[in-house]
Amino acid sequence: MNALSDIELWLLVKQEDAAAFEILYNRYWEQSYKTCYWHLLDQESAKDIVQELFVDLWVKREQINITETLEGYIKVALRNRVFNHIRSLNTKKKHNHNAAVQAPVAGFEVQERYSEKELRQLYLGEIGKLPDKMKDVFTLNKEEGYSIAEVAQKLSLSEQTVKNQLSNALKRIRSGLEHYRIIMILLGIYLYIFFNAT
Amino acid sequence: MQAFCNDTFFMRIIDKEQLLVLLEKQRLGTCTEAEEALLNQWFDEPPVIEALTFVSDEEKERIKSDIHTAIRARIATAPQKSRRLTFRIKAIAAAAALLVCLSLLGVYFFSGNGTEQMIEVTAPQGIAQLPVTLPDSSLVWLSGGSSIRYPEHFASHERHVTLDGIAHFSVQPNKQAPFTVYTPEHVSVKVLGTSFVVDVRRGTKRVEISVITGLVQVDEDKDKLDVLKPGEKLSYSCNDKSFRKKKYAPEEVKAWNNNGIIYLNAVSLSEISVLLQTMYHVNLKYDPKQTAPYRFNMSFSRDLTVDAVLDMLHSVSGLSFEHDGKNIKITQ
Repeated sequence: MNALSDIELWLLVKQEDAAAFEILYNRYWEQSYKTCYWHLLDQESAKDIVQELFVDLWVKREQINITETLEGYIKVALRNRVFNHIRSLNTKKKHNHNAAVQAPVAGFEVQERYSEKELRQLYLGEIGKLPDKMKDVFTLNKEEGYSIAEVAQKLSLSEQTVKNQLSNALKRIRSGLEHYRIIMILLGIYLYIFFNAT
Repeated sequence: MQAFCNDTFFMRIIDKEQLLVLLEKQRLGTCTEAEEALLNQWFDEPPVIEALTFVSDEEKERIKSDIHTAIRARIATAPQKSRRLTFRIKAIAAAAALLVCLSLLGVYFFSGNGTEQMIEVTAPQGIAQLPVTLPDSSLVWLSGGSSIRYPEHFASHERHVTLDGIAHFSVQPNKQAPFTVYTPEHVSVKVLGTSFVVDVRRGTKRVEISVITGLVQVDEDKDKLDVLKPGEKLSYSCNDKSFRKKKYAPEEVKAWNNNGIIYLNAVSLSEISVLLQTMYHVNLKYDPKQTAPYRFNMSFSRDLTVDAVLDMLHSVSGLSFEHDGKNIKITQ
């Protein structure tokens, strides 16, 4: 059954085939989670969105008609959900502020490259904040490409210690980025209100 | 505001602000095509640092199973809402579908492939009822000492399980895939979505089927014996291959269910671990050597929370249970 194409599996799902649904989950959960996570930098929201998407796929399987690819369908569904999530963050802050549709959008350019670069900078900044030992482990493994066993030997640590240090380092860096993202969203929203109020 | 107007932050904020404006326009349906394209492009290219998505393989597996568990829980409860409303229609549809699957039965026997991975679950003697979730989210309460065999994935057109012992089945309705319980005594039970109890204790030379909801068809090999309605019970004697149908008192099934109480009699921690994992989706972590001498005698209600059960386990054993999310660490 694992060899079936997405569309074949989807037709089985439409006939209430739970096994086919499982396979589709295994195929698409990771990409879906990753997309949501990097847009929101928030594990719980990303998990919720992926969960709701798959529940909807199952519950509404009879109404959903995949016209092109399942991958495409999932992408569009995730996009709508991520956009709704960002809007809802916005509404929470907005209260009775009336959304001004006429807000200026002139000169709009999505700064993708810029934020990619910026994220990279923040990432390096967070690495700099790590305790020395942890930083050594991290740099050797992630930046210089040494294996866990090699790092353990170089620094005279056990492999388990290296693994723990590495996962702790990643956690610290990630929570640093998550913190930054939350501040950015809030600042963005305040400024939005400020612009529209004037 | 001026405090934020250094280069880095300024670009970022403008980006966010414009994004929100566009999202608002999209919601109101006033986006131009170019603006839609900008939104889509923004979504397609999020900045990503691959190594940070998951900090370890363990975290990845945990997130995968967290989402999966949540989906299963939501899906399992979803169809039940409509079941009560459409009960009469369902019953008629069930009768029609029974006829269809009878005529197809021969084909399935020959087309079945033998490569499917089978799972066999045996409830330890000391446990009154072990909950088993089947691949289609149907729930089976398996009596102590009973065992059930089922494939890792059900086929799209049939759901076959083999029971040896006593079990209470709550079958997820699925018109396309009839659910059949085979027993070692050539008697099989076929349903489409219902709940019932099958009792095939070895040694008693008797098979009993009690129906709680829905329609159930009982077959002997390929011959149909009878169709049971809720409140009916069929007793089959393996000696003379005769059967009797009678009304059962609702208390009988209730008594079997023990009013939702799970009895544990001299069970080990590893057996409790399986029980809690199935009931609450939690993982017990303990040192098997340290806990090997422990045997538990206790009973608890099915609807207790996991923490309440852990409290009881703690007070009877003195072991300490540290509950952290999906994991429970047990120490002396």
